[in-house]
Amino acid sequence: MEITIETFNKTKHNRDNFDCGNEPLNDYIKTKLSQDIKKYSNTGYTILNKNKEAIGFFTLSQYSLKNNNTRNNKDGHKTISATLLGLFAIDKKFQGQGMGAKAIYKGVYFKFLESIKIIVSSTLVVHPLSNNRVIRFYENCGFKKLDENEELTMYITTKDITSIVKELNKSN
Amino acid sequence: MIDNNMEENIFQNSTNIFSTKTSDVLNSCENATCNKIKLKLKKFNPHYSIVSKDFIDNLYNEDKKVINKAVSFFRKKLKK
Repeated sequence: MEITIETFNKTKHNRDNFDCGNEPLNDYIKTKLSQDIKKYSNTGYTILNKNKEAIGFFTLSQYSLKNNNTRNNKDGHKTISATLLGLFAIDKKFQGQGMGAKAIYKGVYFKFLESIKIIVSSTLVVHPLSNNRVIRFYENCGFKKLDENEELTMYITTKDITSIVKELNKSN
Repeated sequence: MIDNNMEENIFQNSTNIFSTKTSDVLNSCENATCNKIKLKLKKFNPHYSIVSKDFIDNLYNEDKKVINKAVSFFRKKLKK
């Protein structure tokens, strides 16, 4: 199934029947997402199917990571520029059909690469739900755990995203 | 009485003044208690992220293994 990505539009993108299976996320999408966008807290995107139905949503925002390893860091920077994938949700009806992977590749990675042309970022970060299935999904997409003992933060470097997209573009 | 919001504020304020020296100690510590503290700090302040040496090593170099794995994953899913 083909998907397209559009900047979130609260009047155009119907969320009334949206259900990703996680109540707090459903609630956020239906009631708070547009407010956060209005406050410039994040940028929202809608994942649409070929019938222009909203089948998923994601947000990107500026973020930074604290670097306590300045001795090991070639640049010695105390913070590392990052972009946060704050929300990523696919409607239950479309889960398990490869939609998540398509949305990460065609949506998240492309919008991330577009955004770093204006404001650079070293890495894309996500705080996945503490759920092995979700963690495995992000690992398959190229994310790693920030810390081996840490399950709440995962990242993929800009360099790796660029290489993945370049490789996939070659074959398309 | 301290409610959840107050507790969160107190914790956020305390992480803001968390000294580098203390974070260095926590960072080098790998026992269960330290890991619990790291997770608690993370929960209350998402900006508090302890970056590992692996992270720094990976930041500027391509990870071929990860790239190849992700490329074959996406190829499989994009065909659907």
